[in-house]
Amino acid sequence: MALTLDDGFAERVFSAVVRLRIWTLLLGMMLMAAAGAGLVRLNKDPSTDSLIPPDHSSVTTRDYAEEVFGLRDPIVVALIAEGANGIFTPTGLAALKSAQQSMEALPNVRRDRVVSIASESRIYGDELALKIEPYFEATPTTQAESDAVRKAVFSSDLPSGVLVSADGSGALIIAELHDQSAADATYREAMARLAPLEDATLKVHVAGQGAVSGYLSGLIDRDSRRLPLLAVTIIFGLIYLAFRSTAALVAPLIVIAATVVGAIGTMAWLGISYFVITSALPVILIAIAVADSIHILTGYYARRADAPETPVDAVIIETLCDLWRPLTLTTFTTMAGCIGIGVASSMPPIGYFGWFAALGVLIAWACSLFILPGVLSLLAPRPSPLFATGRPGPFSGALTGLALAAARAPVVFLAVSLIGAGVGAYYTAKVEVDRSQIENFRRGLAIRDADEVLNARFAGTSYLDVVVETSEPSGLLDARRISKLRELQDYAEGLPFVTKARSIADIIGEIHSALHPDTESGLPKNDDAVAQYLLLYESSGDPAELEDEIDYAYERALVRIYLNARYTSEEASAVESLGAYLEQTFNEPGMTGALSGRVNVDYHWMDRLEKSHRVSIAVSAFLVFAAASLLFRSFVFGLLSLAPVAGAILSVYAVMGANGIFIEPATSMFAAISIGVGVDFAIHFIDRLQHAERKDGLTAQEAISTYFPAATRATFLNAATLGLGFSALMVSELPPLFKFGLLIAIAATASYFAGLVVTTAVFALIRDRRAVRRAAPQATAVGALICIVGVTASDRAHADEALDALTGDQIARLINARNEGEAVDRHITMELANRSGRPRIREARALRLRGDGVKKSIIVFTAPKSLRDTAFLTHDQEDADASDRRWLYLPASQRPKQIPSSDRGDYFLGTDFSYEDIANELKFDLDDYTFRRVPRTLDDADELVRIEAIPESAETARELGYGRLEAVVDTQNWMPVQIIFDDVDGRLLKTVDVRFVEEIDGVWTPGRLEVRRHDVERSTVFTYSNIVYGAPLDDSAFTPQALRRGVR
Amino acid sequence: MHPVRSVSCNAAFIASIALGANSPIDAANADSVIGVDYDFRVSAALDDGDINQAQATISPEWRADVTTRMSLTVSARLRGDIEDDLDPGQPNVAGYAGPSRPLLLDDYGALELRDAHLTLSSGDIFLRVGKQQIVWGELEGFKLLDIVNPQSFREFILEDFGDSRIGLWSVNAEYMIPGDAFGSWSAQLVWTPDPTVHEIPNPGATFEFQAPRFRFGDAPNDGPLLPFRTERRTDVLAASGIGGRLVGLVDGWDLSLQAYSGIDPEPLARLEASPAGAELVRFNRRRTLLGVSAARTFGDVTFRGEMGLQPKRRFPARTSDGQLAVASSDQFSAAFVADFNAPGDIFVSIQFLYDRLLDWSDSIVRPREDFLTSLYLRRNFANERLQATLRWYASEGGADGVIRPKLSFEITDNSTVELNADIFYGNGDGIFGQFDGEDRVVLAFRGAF
Repeated sequence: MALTLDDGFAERVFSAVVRLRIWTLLLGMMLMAAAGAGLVRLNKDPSTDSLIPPDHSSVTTRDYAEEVFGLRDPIVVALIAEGANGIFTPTGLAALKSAQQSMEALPNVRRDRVVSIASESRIYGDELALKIEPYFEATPTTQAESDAVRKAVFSSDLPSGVLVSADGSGALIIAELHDQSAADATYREAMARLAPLEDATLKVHVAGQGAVSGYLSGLIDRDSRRLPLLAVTIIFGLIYLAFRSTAALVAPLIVIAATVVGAIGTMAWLGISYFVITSALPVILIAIAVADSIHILTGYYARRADAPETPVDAVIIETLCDLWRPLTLTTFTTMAGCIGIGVASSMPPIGYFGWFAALGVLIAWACSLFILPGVLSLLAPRPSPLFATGRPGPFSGALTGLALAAARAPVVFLAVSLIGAGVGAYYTAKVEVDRSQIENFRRGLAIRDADEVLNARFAGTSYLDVVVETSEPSGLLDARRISKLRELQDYAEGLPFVTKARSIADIIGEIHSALHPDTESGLPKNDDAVAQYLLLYESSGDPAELEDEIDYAYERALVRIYLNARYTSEEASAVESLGAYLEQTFNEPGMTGALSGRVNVDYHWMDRLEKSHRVSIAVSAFLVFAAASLLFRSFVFGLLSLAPVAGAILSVYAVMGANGIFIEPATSMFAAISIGVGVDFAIHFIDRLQHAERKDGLTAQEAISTYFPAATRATFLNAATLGLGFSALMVSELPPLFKFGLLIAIAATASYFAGLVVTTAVFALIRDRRAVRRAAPQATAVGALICIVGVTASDRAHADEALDALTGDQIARLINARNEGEAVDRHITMELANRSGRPRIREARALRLRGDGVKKSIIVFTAPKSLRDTAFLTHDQEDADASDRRWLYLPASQRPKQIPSSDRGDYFLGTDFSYEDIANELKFDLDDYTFRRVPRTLDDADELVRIEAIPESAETARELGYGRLEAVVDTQNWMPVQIIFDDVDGRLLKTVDVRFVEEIDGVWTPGRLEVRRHDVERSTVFTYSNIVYGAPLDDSAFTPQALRRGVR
Repeated sequence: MHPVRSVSCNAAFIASIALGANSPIDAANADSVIGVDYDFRVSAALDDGDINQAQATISPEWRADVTTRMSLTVSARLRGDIEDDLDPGQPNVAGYAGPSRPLLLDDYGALELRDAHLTLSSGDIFLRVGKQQIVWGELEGFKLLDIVNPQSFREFILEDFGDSRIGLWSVNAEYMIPGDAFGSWSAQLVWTPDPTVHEIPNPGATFEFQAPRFRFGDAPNDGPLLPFRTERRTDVLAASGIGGRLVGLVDGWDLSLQAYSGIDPEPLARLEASPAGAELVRFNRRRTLLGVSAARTFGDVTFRGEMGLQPKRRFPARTSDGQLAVASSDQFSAAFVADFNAPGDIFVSIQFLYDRLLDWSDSIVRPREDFLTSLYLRRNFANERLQATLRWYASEGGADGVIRPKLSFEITDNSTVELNADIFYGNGDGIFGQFDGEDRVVLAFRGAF
């Protein structure tokens, strides 16, 4: 391998580098200029949409909705008046009118798309005529006139939360922009124009997605200018302090410039945008790029001090011959860490960050080895006074002492390290993946205050849209479909964090109520009425007012759902529930609904982030480990290189877990980068220890005393430049970058100290390998047993009289008598989510056949690939005295295996349903339980009854894993709608919710089963599709020997 | 059942599929799936930490449902090991028949066709033709009735059997016997015109057999090594294997009765004179196995058992004056397995295997009887993402064995990282102790897409 090149060859290479110094420098400058020329093409993209690939369905649907309904991210102005009459005073409404005019006058604002109660109309009328008139035209001059406006506004539910706060204290102006890229300037202009409206009783707030994006763009601009400069200043200050030589600053400056310009310039040439998180890339590159220079300069000055008479070029060549190997090693490992992000991330900005960070590291390495020597040779820096004494400085002396202590008492140091790792692991479990848009801004910033006011007083700033599309023009001139839109809105408004839902159904409802004030129904019953109402509205008002709710062809409509969630995680259940509702209930031949809007986009990229974050760490760790192992040609040293940085990363996760810092796009990258960077220290230490042992035959303590004073000097300076360089990000006005800088600075520092202590302690401990080997088999076996036993121990953590007369046992029999079809073929999508909500998706085909007193079922997995063809077969006997049989077929073993039925309480293949739950399918084994009626709760609908089931014996309870269950049963179809399970100790165990029950071919069928575990925060959702009753199933397919053949 | 009538029915069925009478072949609608498994692993010797395996394996598979009754599967495996310490140089593939032989890529890798078969399936008839693995029996980790396919011992028995089992060009026909008066039964007929035998590691390989019983005529490892060659079977038809099996489900009992006659993949040896001196020639002869297996769950425990008799099987022998010879003996084997769940959700599987040569003589190199045991513990954690297992295989009453602790973590649905150790102990003549000193730790990253 290249790293085993003999020193003679290295000497020839570096001699040539020094000899050709002018040419290498010129070549380097030309390449840098070529890359730098690309910077003029650099495009900024501050949007969170960039976190999702542009061809992702959530983005294409959102873009489609924007195109059809003319939606743009708006700037939203809130006027809040604190008096008893709120905004409905002559001065308040005058201010609103003035603000409306000010916004319409802004050059970047679409004049026809500035909406408030000062521009909108109310719908009213009687059986004779429909009237659509502005809420007010002339500004009220008396309180009585203002009260009349208030009455008009609140005569309908339409504007509440959307244009006025429900308590009347505030009003909104929603303004759409022509050019989103100029949003920052528009935001500032709006702030300046509206400021004079403020007084002691009236406050003006400006926010909205348009303002937020614009503001972010401005912050990126400022950060891009400030942060690299600050990092360079800090780092050069450190270098000067370390070498006390201005000549020492020139070479690193060239390396840094070449690295940053080379990486960012190449990015620009390739047409890749500069995203929010890319702001951190120059700082990261500066801090990493300078590391190699520091090592070379330290070696250079040390040699100059030792042998002042040696020619400068000889010193440079000797230094590089000594250092090229560890520098190359650390470059590989740092690149491996960055590549881990690039390979694993499915979010383009993060992936690009990883790849271009890796490119930068490679450029830094090339410049350090092939340009820096020439620069040093040209400058020939004089010996540094700090190196003159030949004695280690106070820092390197103390650090060498610490390493010696670890080598003398390795067990103590390792035990303390392990305890620390354990504490870290505890807090690491608390780290969550989440994000809050508004927390992109520091507290106290006007835009953050404005966003909080909008969420607190109005319907919210987050929109989840449903694009409803029919298959033909005028497809929505259909009373039943309009009614379905309203049902969809009602469903949405029952979801957490949803404050309001609006659609064309509201306007049709308003017109219907206005024309038929005496009818109870809110919507018309016939299709002609729908068409006539819309025609009436368009002829009475401004036809363009409907364009953001329905298209001109009446073919497509938009349902806008307002949420006031602060965190993306809070929006997830609305997205998931609505998605399922659309699929299970709303969609029909000729009309479909698809989720759209920013909330939907956010949901999808958070989901991707969750997945890619862990994978990037695993890939980085694996690559770094593999690189270190292969380069040291030792698995042990590979592991030893990774151990300190793993400990350091655990400590940073602990900081995140303890302080509630989320894993979000920026912070998600710290771990993988830290692995690549942090491992460098351990590699330097191991390289010195290994060299001392093999070449000089020194013990660990002797090696530390001999080599560590110099090694710690360079590595400490490297750690300090990394830590302080990364900390430059902490002056960013963007809190995510602040946190990223903080975390990676902590990780770099912790990696250094963990590397120093752990590598030396382990190295000292494994000196006597024979003793280790003698103990290894027993220790491994005992260790494995202790792990299994130990972790097992800790892992413990409506109704008429006839209906009222039914007993619990009778209800259980009615449930079991429910028709479930003789044969059924269906598809199951299983979603398994853990505490942090990260779902695992499994697809399966499930067949069931009933006959001859036996219910036979097969579930065959079709995805993911790792589970494909895995099959589970059950034969459940209706005769209680006959035993049920189960078989599991794993493709790897190629043979079906009968499994004990006592496993029936075990969880089925990683889901939260037990084997028994799967086999019984919302029925109950009458021999297992004693049933009893329990009273309904006040919230229960009339058609629901409750029964309690207690296992017949302790043994049955143990087998089932349940001590009690309570089922809420729909008496209209005898289908449980909810089952609550307690464990054998009486603790709440899990809740199963049965959703979207519908009758298919005469069989009541659940569309979705959701189970939430309460003992561990986990959930499983089964969604059924392609359900075919009466499918032609062959009995011979339900035999164990047929499992190998798959289901056809 | 009338066999002749059955065969003619099968032929008519196959013809109808091929002609598209009942299930038209519609290539445009063929449901085709391509998947790739990959596996990167690094293993290091426990004694010095040095890496002895840095291996990448990529296994693409293409499966196409030509019609609802006919499918085609082709899979290959490309393996590269840049360390080449496991079996230095080119592996010994002399035991492979031509069409089954892997393509060697210098010393560092091999490309192998793993599966290539056409499957026809109807409700009661199943026919698979082509290169495939046919797995019989109930045991895990030990082979008693699972004798159709030979195995690669490149990593002794440490590799997953699914990976180390060598697929053979075969015809595999199954027929679900109608009627259920005596339970549900199916009949299977297997024909393997492929005389491939075990892949045995070269001298100098990490898992070169050291115990005398596995030297197959060669001197003990510390003695002089003879040049050797493997006698290839060219009489493919005469050397082909044939067997039948009845598999039934009767009152909860999974039962099977089987008979198979084919080339014994374990070699015998003789010395021959060659121009360069004495040469060790390894050759293989037929063997026949009659066997039964049964499995049933009783309450909390599933019991499984196998029993087999191999009449007049041939074994390597040495005469009293040290000359190589071949001796025959009836071989009886029986195994018993119990699977259950211990408290704490720990899955436990215990296996006992007894094997005895009924006509053993002093000349036979292997001992008269073997008594093997295995213990398998498995516990899942973290929503089944993390799995800890411990396998312990032992012979000689536990004095000879291998302990295999393993942790595997599912990173995503399709990627897993694994860390395991293989720790051998016992004396050099033992089945496992022969590898004492080859203890290793393996880190693997495997997945699929």
